[in-house]
Amino acid sequence: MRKLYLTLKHKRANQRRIKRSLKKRIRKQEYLRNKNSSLQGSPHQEKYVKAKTKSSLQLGYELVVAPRNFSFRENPDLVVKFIDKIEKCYEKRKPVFVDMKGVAKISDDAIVVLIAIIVNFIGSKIKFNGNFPSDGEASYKLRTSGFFEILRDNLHGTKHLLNQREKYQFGKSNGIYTNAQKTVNSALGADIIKQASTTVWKTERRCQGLQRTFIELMQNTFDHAAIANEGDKHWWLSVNHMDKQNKVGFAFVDFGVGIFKSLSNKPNGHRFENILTKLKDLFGITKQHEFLEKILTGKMHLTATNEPHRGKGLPGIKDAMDRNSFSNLLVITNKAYGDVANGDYRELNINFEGTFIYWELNDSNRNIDGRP
Amino acid sequence: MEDLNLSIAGDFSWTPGPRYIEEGDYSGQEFREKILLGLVKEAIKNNYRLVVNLDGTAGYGTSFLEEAFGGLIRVDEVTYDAIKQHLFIISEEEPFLKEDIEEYLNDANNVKQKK
Repeated sequence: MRKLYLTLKHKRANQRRIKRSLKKRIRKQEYLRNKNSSLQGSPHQEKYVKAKTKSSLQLGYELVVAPRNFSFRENPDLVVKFIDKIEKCYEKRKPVFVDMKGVAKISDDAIVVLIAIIVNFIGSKIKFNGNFPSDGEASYKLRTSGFFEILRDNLHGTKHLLNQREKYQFGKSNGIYTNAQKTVNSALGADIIKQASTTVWKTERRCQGLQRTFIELMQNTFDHAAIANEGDKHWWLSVNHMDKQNKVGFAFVDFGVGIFKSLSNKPNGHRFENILTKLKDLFGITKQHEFLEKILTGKMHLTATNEPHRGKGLPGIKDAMDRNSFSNLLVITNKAYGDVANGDYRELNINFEGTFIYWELNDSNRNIDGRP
Repeated sequence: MEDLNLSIAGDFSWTPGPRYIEEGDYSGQEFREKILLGLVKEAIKNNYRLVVNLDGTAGYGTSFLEEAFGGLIRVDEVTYDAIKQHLFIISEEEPFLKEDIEEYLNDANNVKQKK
């Protein structure tokens, strides 16, 4: 019998079995390590960061504490306040340490905002550090969101890519997909819809109203996000697949100057020059959230510009929601907060230097057969 | 009147893009300059009807449609009447796009008249 196992055939079989067994052991060890980390809320990175926290603060980092409910949709005032503190450090080129220990809830929209901020810091060579939420679930969500992969990629490549004005994009990971580009990429919108429709309807469908929204938002960033030059700011998109609810949430962020600051800074002769003053005179409104409502309903371009062919983007998005192409549209820009779906517009306490838009696709939304 | 047929999904792109060429791929400007304008002129010259089918794409941004169709009047100086006479739009998947394009043509014509 022993002789049988010494033949070449059996030696090879044994080697294959050993390799398989080793791979299996490594996989199991990795699985247990990750499971332990998530249960204890104490991943390896966190231990490293904990050790670094004290020394970071001693090295002149500004401590910025993240809100307990770190969700742009649910807690806009405190998240904007948090972003504002970080932005101020950015302007002063001061290193930042983000304390997330107290975060009990974190949402995909907040993660994409955080990534956009950190990439700015990395691009400008300003130091950025932080710790993990103590809450196991929040910590797990942050670590499995692709957050660290994106930061790692950017540490090695952002500056080069930003200088080259090329696109850069990140892969899908555990439900949150993040992308940052400067131009309008309609093919990307179509690809995202393919994935999203498969989550919602279990088959590829076309959602033309959703595609319109992607194009309008990218176009808007290109046209308005930078005061000086068109196309000088990036947009960021996070896609959160909620398989169990047959729902997909989209969070779009651009850290331009925001809609109202952009409108107030239009140069002489620009189609939107003095547009806010004209609106004020026409409608007797002064608050940004009131302007936002007028813009979304299309009353702004109809009444206050000399170029009726422009300014149809944001009203086009609201039209798409009204036609049931998607649900739950929310817009935050500068001091304006608009829960468009529920007609709830209000003023924020602090200015958000950028534009944040959230919406959802669910199985009751309008859709047609996939690509013919 | 003989028909000239044009399908945006089949003859241009199934993912129409932004307004201008420099803003991204498959823009309204590119579509108008490379395809639509030539066919519109041909239709007017030979008294054909140009049938543009909007169906089968991933979806349109408002800027693409405005630049493609409104741009015929605003940029290329084709007259509103000639377009109305020779251009026919099919949009069964998103019927409201026909009204949108009509509005873009009207707006472009009104601005032109004011000048």
